[in-house]
Amino acid sequence: MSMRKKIVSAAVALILGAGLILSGCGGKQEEFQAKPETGIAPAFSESLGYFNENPSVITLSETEKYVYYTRNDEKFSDESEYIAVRRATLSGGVWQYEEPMAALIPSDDGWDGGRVFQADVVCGKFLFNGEEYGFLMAYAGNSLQNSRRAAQIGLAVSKSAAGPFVRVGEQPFLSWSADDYSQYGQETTDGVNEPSLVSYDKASKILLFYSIYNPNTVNSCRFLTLDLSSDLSELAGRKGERGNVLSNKGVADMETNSNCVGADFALTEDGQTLVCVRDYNPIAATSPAVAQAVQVLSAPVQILMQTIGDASPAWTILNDKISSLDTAVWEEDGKPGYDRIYSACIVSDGYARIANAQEFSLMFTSSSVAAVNAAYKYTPMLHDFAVSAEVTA
Amino acid sequence: MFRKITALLFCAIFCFGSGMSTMPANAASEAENVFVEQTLQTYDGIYMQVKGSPADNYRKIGIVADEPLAVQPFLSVRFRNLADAAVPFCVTLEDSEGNKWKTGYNGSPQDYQEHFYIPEDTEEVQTVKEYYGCMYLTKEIGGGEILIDMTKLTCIFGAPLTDIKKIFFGLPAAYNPAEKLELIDISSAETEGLSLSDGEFSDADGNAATDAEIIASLQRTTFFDFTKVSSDEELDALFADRTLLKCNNDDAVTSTFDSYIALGKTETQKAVSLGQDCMEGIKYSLRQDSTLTSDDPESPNYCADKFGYIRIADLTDAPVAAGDALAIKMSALYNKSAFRIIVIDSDGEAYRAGAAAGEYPFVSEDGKIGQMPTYYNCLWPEKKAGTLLLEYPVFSLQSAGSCDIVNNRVADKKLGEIAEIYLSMDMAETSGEAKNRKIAIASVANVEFGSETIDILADLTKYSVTSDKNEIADANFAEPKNSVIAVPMEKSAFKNGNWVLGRATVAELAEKAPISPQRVGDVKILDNFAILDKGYSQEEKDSIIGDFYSLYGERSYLSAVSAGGKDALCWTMGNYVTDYQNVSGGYCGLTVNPVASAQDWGDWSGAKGMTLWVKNPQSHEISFNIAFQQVIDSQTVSYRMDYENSTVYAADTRTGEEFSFPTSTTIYLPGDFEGWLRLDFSVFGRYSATGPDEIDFSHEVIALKITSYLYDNSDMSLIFGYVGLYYEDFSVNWAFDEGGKGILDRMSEGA
Repeated sequence: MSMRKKIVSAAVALILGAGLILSGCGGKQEEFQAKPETGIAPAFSESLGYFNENPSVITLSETEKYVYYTRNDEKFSDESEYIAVRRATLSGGVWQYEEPMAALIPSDDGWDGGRVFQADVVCGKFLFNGEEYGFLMAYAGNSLQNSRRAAQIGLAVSKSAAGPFVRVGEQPFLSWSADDYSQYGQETTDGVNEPSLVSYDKASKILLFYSIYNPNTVNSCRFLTLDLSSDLSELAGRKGERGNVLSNKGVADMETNSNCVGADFALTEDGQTLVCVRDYNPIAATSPAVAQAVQVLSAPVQILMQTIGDASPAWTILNDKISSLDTAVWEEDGKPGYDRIYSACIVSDGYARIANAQEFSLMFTSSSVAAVNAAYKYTPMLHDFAVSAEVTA
Repeated sequence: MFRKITALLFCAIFCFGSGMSTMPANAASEAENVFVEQTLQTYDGIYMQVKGSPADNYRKIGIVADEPLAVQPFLSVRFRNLADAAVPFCVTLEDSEGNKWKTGYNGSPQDYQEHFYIPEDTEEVQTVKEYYGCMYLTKEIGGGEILIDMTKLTCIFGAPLTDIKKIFFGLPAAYNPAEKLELIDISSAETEGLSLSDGEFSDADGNAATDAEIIASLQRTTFFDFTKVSSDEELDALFADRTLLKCNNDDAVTSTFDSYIALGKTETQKAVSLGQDCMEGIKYSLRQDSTLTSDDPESPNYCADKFGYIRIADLTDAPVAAGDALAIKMSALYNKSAFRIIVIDSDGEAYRAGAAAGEYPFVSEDGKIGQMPTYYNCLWPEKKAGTLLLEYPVFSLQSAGSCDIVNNRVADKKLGEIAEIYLSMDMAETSGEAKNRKIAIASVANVEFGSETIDILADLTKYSVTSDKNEIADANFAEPKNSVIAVPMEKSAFKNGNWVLGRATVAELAEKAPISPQRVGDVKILDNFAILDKGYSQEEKDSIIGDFYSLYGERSYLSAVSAGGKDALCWTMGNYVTDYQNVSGGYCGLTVNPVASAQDWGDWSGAKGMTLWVKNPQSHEISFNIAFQQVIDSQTVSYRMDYENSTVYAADTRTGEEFSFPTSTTIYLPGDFEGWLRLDFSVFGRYSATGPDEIDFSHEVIALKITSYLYDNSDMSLIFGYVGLYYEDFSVNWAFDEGGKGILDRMSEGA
C-alpha cells in the first residue's frame, strides 16, 4: 500500500470513528473557506478546496435522506477522491445535514485503487457471501492518480445507508479497456462510468444505466436489467460494451445526436414512466468543460423493452433547460446564477421512485469557471431544485 | 409487384423435392437426358401468360353460357396482374342472335375512353383507359375489378345486344410479350340505387355517391367464375366440351392458341436435365494475361463489341430446325461468370440469349428446378452444375455487325435452322472479373416439348485433350468434327487469342453446400458460407471457397474455416504496408452473390432487416459495413448502413448475452464477439449516385457487398457463418417478466 493510501485510510478511519470533518495529514482542523455563491444556496456547505459533485439522493422517509457525492480527500488536491455521504433530517421545514462520512474509498491496490467517484445508491434485498444487505451502490473507479479516465464500474453493498459499503468482488462489474478498441494503440477515453440505479421491483431486480465512451464510435448511454436475487458473489462481470443502447429518440438540445450520457434515472411510483435528468449539450468549451444546464425528460418504461425504430417510444422533454437563470437570486446582488450546472440527480425514495413526473426535486452540481476563479476545480457545490414539468409527461 | 400464393409454396417444392422425370428422350451414349417438371403455383382463378407473338395479335378465351345473361350496365372482370408489365385485354360479347360488340376504341394514350377500376382489397373507385382497341392496363394496375361501361362498347356486327351468350377475353400477345395475369371471374353488374351520368355516380336525389357507396351498391350476376374450376383436368374438360374455347383474333377456335398463350389452374415449370458430366466437358476461360478490349477509340485494343466469342457447336453441314428451347449442360467454375449464348441460324442471323432482366430455368444435378438470372444482357450463373434451358423466344435478334462474329447479318428475322452456337464472354478492361470467369460445358441440345424430344447438338464430352495445341488455344481436342476451335471465331484476332480451353478440375466443380434449413425461426438464410465438402484438403477448400465470392478493392483473402460448429468463410484484410494500392479509397470489398438453393434469394419484401452470424477473432473491435444492390430502371442502386449512432442488435451465441451497440459511419464489432447481428433497414441509406432514396423491395436484390477499411483493419479477419433476413419484431433482452422475445427467442421459434 502506498504511503498516500495509508494516510487516506487513517484519515477515513478517524472520520468513521469520530465523525470529524475529513482533514489532511495529522487530523488537523482546517480553516473553512467559503465557496463563491453566485446563485441559490447549496444544500450544505463545505470549504472551498473540496469539490462536491455527482450527487445521488435517497429519501428513506419524509424526514430522513442521504446524499452521496464525490469528494476529494485532500484540500485543493484532485489526486484522489472518494464517495462521501451525508445524512440529512428535516427539522422545522429545513433539511439539516450532518457531517460527511466515507461511504466508499479507493481500494488498496485494485482496479479502483486510484479513485472512486460518481456513485448511485438504491435500496433493495441483496445477498453477498451469505449475508443480507439493504443498500446497493454502483460507482465508477480507476487506478489513476490524476484523472477519471479509463473508468470501470463496480458494485458495493451496505447494511446501512451511511455505509461503509463492501465491495462486491475484487473486479469491476462492468469492465473497460483501451485494448478492446484498436490494434494500433490505446486511445483512452473516460471508459464506463456515471452509473445510475433504479429498482424495478423494490427488491432485487435492478436497472443499471451507465455511460460508455467508445473511441471508435459515439458515446452512448446503455442499460442492463439485472436480477440480483442470487448471491452477488456469483455475479459475473461483463464488458461495458455489452449493455443495451438506450434510445435517444426525442432527446434534443443544441447538439446533433444527443443522448442520455451521464444521466440519472428514476421511475414513477406506478413503474410506467421513466424520468431522466441529463446534462444539456454541448458542454462548455472553457474550463471546467462541463454542462451549463441540465434537462429533464420522461418516456414510457417500454422505451427500455422495445428495439429502437420508427414506432418505438420516444423521450418527451419535460423541462428543456435548467440553467443559470433558474438558479439566480434576483433579490440579492451578485447572484445571477451559476455558469456551470451539471451532473444532476433525481431526489427519489430509496428505490429511485418518485410520485409523479410532473413535480419532483433534483439535486445538481454547480461550479465556478476558470476565467473567474483560479480554484474553480474546488468550487463545485450541490443544490436542491424543484422541478415543474413544462409539458405534461 | 402484386403476388398471391394460394396453394403450394415454391420453397415447399424444394423441401419436398417434387421434381419428377417424364419419359426419357433421345439419349447420347449412356447419359440420361430427361424432362423435369415442377409445380410452381396454383391460382384462385386461371393464369394466362403470353409466350409467343401471333401474326394476328390476339388470342382469346371464349366462354359459352348455358343460359344467356341479361345485359346490365357494366361488365365486371376481376383479375390480378402477375407480371411487372402492362396487362391489356379486350372483351367481345356475343348474344343469342349473333350480334357482337367489343372494347374497340382505338384512340391513343391521350384519346381514350374511361371505365371504372376497383383495386383489390380497397374501397376506392378509380378509372382506367380504353385505347388501342383494348382495356389498356399499365403495369401499375395491380389487380382488382374492372367495370366496363357497356354503353362504350363498339359494335362489330348487328344490332344492340339482347343478352350475353358468349364472352371472348383476349390478350394482345404480339405487342405484350411480358403479359401475365390471373383471370378470376367475369360477371354482369349494375349499381343498385345509383345512376351514372358524365362519369359520375349519383343517388336518386342527385347526390354524388362516395366510393364506398358505389362499391356497396354493386349487384353482380356471374357469367363465369374461374375459382370454381378446381384443377387443370377440369379446365381441360371445359375446353373439351366447348364450354370454354381457345380462339384467335376473329373469335374462331384455333389450334395455335397454346403456342402463344400458356394458361392453366396450376402453373408448372418444365425444363430439361442433360446427363453429360461437366468434368468430361470443355472448360472455357480467359488467360490471366489476356489482352482486354478498351473503350477508348484511340487505343489499339479498341473494340466496339467488348465480348469475345467461341463456337461450341458447328452444325453448318446440317443445320437443325429450332424446336422449343436450347438446353446447355454446364457449370460456372467461378461464381457469377457472366456469359451469353449466341445462336446463328442458317441465313446468317445472330440471336442472343441474355436480357436486361429476367431469369431462366436451371435444373441442378439433383433434379430441382432453379433459376439463372439475366441482367445487363448477360446470364449470371451460380457455381453449380446443371442444365440451363433457353426457350427460343427469349433469344433476341442482333443487328448486323453488332457482334464480332463472321456471321452476323439480318435476313428474315426468324430463328429457323440452327447452324452455329457460340459462347460469349466479356473481355473488357473495365470488367474487373473478366479474367476470373470460367465455364465448363458438357453438351448442348435442341428440345421439343410437344414431342418430348431432346436432340443433342454437341456432346463436348466426346473430346479428349491432346498435346497438339494450335496458336489459338492452350488445349486442343481430338476428333475435330464439331471442333470448337477449327476456325477463327471472330474478327478480332487478339480476342481469339484470349481463350483457354481445358478440363474442369474437381475443385473447380465444387458446389456450395445447400442451404438447409432455409428458415431458422424468423430468419430466412441467404448464404451459409459453406461448400459441399467432397473430401477436399484445406488448401483445396481455401481455393474453392474463394471461387464463390468476389473480392474487390484493396487486397484481401478468403479461406475456409470452422466457426460456430460449422464451415464458415474467413475474410482477411491485406496488410496496409505491403498490400495498400489506394484502390476504391482504401477499402477491401467482398461480394456475396445470390445462391440458387436459397428460397427466393432476391425477394426481400416483407423483411424487417438483415442479420448476420459473424465472429470477430480479434480481442479488439473490427470495422466493416454491409450494403445490398438492386437493378432499378437498368441502373445499379446500392444501399448501405449509413447513419452514425444507429443501433446494431447482437446476440452472442456462446454466452447467450443479448445487447446492442451504436455505429459510427461503419459498424464496429466488439472484440471476441461470436453470434448474430441484426440491422433494421431503417439504418440503411442510399449511397449510389443514382436511385430512389427510399428502399423499395419490389425490385429484386442482386448482390450483397461487405467492405472494410484497410488501414484500420490491416491483417485482421472477420468470419461469416450466415447472412439472412429477419421478419419479426424482437425486443431488448429483458431479464424480468413481461418482456418480449429477444433475438435468440425469435430464432428458436418453430424449432
